[in-house]
Amino acid sequence: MLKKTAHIGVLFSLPAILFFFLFIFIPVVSTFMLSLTSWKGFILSDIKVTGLSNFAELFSDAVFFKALTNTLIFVVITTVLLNILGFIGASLIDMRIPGTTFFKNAVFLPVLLAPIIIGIMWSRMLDAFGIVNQLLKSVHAITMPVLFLGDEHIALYTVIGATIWQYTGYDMLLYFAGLQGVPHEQVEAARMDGASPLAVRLHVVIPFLSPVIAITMLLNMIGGFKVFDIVYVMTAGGPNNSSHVFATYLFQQAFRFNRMGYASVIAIVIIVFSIFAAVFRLRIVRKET
Amino acid sequence: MKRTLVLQVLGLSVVFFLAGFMVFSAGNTVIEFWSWNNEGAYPVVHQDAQARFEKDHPGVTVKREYISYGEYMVKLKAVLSGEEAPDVFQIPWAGEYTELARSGKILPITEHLKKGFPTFFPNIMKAISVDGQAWAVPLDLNTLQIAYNKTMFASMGLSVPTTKDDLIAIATKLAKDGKFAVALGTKDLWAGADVFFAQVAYTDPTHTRMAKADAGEISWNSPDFLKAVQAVTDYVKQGVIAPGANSMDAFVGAKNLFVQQQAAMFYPVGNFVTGGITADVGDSFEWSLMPWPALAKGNPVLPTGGVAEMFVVSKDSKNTDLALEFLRYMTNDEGKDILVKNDFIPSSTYKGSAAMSPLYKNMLEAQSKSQSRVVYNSVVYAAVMNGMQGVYGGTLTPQAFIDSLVKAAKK
Repeated sequence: MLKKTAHIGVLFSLPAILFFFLFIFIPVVSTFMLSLTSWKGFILSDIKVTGLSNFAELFSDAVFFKALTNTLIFVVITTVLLNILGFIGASLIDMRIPGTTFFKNAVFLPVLLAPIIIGIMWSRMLDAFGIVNQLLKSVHAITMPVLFLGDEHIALYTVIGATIWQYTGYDMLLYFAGLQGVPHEQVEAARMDGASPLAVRLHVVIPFLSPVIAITMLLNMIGGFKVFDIVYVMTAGGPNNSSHVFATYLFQQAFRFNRMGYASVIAIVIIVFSIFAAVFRLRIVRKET
Repeated sequence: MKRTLVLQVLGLSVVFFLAGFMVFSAGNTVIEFWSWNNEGAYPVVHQDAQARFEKDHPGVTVKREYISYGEYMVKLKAVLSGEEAPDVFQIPWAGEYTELARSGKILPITEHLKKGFPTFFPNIMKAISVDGQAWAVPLDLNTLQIAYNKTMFASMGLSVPTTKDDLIAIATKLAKDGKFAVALGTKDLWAGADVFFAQVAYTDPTHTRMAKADAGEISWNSPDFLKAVQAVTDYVKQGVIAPGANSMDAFVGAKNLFVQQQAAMFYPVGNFVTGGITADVGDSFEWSLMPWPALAKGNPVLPTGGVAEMFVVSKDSKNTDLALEFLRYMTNDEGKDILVKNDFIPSSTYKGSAAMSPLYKNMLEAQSKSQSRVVYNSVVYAAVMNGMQGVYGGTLTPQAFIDSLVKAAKK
């Protein structure tokens, strides 16, 4: 009986095992093998084994370290701000004051749009002579245009701003769902004990939301580590490589310079970061259960 | 009786199906054609060649597909690796060309060019040759010049600048009038690199050093290249380049500045964008083209240019002969007529009688003097493009720019 059940278990698991093997295991192993080679990406017989030279190059590649720093900045800022803004937005909706339905829909709407569209839209608006600069000029706030995407020191932060604009609604919805699970009695009890609205939020609501906070932060971090499209559309990693993140730099190495081996090394770095995020997630899930 | 009838109908259906299938397969040879130029008049040229070719080759269809440049190389590399490349496809002129030529995926065509193709200009043959073999069929040529607002120049009493100092003086006058000088969009990188190449045309009197540095025969750390980037830096510092170059696309933000008359000039302009400018400007003002001015007085002005569209045949193509024949239709006398009618410059001598616009004559004249704007080493080319963004942003000194090229060349 047990044997039969085991067979059925294997049968049911087979699609997932096959999927994992075909779309995760084989590509990861191939990427690791490619990282030890030099290959232009055209003919398989042209693959040359170069050992660890690609890994050695990584440590002297200033642009890679710039991309690493940018990715970390992107992850930290978007995660922190998305969570704060998402929580504030959800709290406003939860108050159910007039106009919150419009507010909820307006904030959530950008989540439904493709990042490429968001990127193009913000690029046009933040162009040196786009509508934002024209508005600033019309109120005499500036004399020369602000180079939101053309200044090496602010291009990355402009992309971060556009990303936050797009995804605040997503975090807001997660927090709003979480807020529905906060026991009403405890909130009322705290109020009756004389706790201020802020104290209620800080000492009653937020502790109850800690699982939601953990998951939302994790989703934001994973999204941040793999960000590509909005950066590619808005700056393509420029000016002068100043806004590259992991994925755009990998793309450049693989498809612009045909350096599949070196691009694979960057992919491995992304995999390592993803594994850390996955372990972090597992720990949170275990803690919850 | 009923059974016999059913069998007869079924039998006839099978016969008709098979006959139809045979006719369909025999008469449906498809030549796949890929290009990224679906803007301006290029599709008109492609369409014309297709119509003539299909008329003379019944049963052969040319299937044209246009893919935006941003996606083109990624898709092309994927189909090349998967041995599913289109029969004929457009190929980039700079960095990627050499690597694609050496990829083993492209048909070498030196011998084929001797059969039924026009005699392409010698400098163009040189440009399409890698390792002693020609790999591409060059359709047309381009020149890169500065478009200038003739009406605005006239109203402000400005003359076409012939030296760097003239251009700086014009920029100063324009600034006093609240106008920008040269609109340039370098967000998509390549246009910024071309300003550097335009200066190299003046700083390298031999006009050979860039090719030598590209081939690794000499170092990029040379006074000629340093002087060229120094000239660009001067232009940036003196306000010749409109602010925000790094945040604008060449043919969106920068072109709009010129079209809306906020900037008196716009670079880079060749036949690939003249149609778009003419359409956008309409009757608002008159405009024409001029090369970047010389760096010193008395030197002749020199534009830059090279091959515009060029096409290759996939080595995996099952219809190599038909693919080559289609390219003959694109480049033959009738093909050249349609090119000239649309302000494109054929890559071989044109003896037809198509009417030439004044703008076309300007570009033709410029073409006769044009200097190279090509770096084939893709890593160095990327370093030029990225480094020039640093120059426009004021974060890279001329020497640091040169050092970045030297470092890239070592890779």
